[in-house]
Amino acid sequence: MHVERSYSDDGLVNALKQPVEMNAAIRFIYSEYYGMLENYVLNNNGSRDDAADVIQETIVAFIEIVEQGKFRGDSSIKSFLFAITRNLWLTELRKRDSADNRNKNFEKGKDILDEGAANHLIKREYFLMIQQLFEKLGDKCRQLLMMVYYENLSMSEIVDQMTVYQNEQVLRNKKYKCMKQLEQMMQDNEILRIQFKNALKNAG
Amino acid sequence: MQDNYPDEIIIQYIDDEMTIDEKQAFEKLLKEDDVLYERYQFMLAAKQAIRSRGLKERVGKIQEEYIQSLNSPAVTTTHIPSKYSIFKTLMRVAAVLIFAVAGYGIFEFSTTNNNSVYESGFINYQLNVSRGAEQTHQVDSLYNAENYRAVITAFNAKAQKEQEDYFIAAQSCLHLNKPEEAISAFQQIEKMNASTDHKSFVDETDFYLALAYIKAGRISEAEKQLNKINSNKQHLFYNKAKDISKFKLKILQLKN
Repeated sequence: MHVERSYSDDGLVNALKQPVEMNAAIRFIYSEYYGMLENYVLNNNGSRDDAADVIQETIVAFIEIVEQGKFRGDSSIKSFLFAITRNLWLTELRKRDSADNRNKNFEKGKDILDEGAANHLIKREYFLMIQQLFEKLGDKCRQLLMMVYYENLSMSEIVDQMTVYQNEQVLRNKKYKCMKQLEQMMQDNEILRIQFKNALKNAG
Repeated sequence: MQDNYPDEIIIQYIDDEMTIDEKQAFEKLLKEDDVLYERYQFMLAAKQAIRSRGLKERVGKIQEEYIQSLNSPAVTTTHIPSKYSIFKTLMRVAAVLIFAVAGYGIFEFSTTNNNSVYESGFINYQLNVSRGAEQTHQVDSLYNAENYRAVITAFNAKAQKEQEDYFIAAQSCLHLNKPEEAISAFQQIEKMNASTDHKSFVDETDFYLALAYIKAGRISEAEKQLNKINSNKQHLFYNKAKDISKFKLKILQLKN
């Protein structure tokens, strides 16, 4: 893999906020930290596949925390990534074997992350459940919602690409319909709904 | 869960499509209506989850690229061979060369013999057409007709022999596979040339005598003869003598 450039911690945070620089920044994270994070998972009863999954989640979570301005820079990016990986991996181990893995390491891992970052990791658990529901939407809905919420394209840009929609209003109506459909599936998922309500209560 | 607010209103707020007044009014409602607030949080989580899905895909592609590069390190890193691997490579090259040279040597050794070297150097000698005496003319005719036995008979019958007669006789002996007799005839030419100012067939004799030695298996004498030619760039047969491989002569020496 070609790593275009290296970054300081501040430079890396800034690069992750710039769409044109994001890929280069992600490549740098992989080249610098993947080995360390993988070792942690491998040394804690994980396989290489486990490590790959957890590291992918770690990096996505880190980017989201940075985008939301919740990375305060109190610790180095290396320590922060390590703390996220440890948190996610120990959570995964707890799911697999809840009794044995409620260990002190988990608490240590949580300590390094501040409240905002830790809450984001909890929220991501709901994201994963919502994403599974999202996959059940039709192709057109998924394509449209990805264009709107991930690619941040304007309605006029999407009309140009999805010619099946005659104008922006038709497209906007379709977006409402798709989101309503997704919300309905979320409401119908009792586990998701209850846990989400509880999380909202706990958050205050 | 039902309230009085359509989904469109919540989505418009999430997507920042409201005017400032609409936005302020909606935020007031959010604070007052728990059910609306919960629906708003649900919609917001959906939006964030969709964005997260896109980001995960993006990161996943880079991760795949990274893991592939780990599995094929030559693509990503400059391979600096160790001294050991250089040595191993050199040894392999040396082994290949040794096998190639040995193979070539074995092939040459098995296929090289007196006759093969003789044949590769031999060119059929063509007589000039301007000779006067009738008897001489008869010998020439027999030679040109490749009737070499008759040439020898005519040569033996001739009382007065010149260098050219010996030369034609020697050539015929070579054709008749009688190298020792050819050598004698060529040596006779050398003696005659050494004792007269009228020298003939000097260069031709040098070269064909060398070939006769090869054909007879007298390789050391052939080498001396060829060295004599090779020392004189003006020699008529300089290039032909050069073409005869010294390596093959060494093989013949070993074999003989």
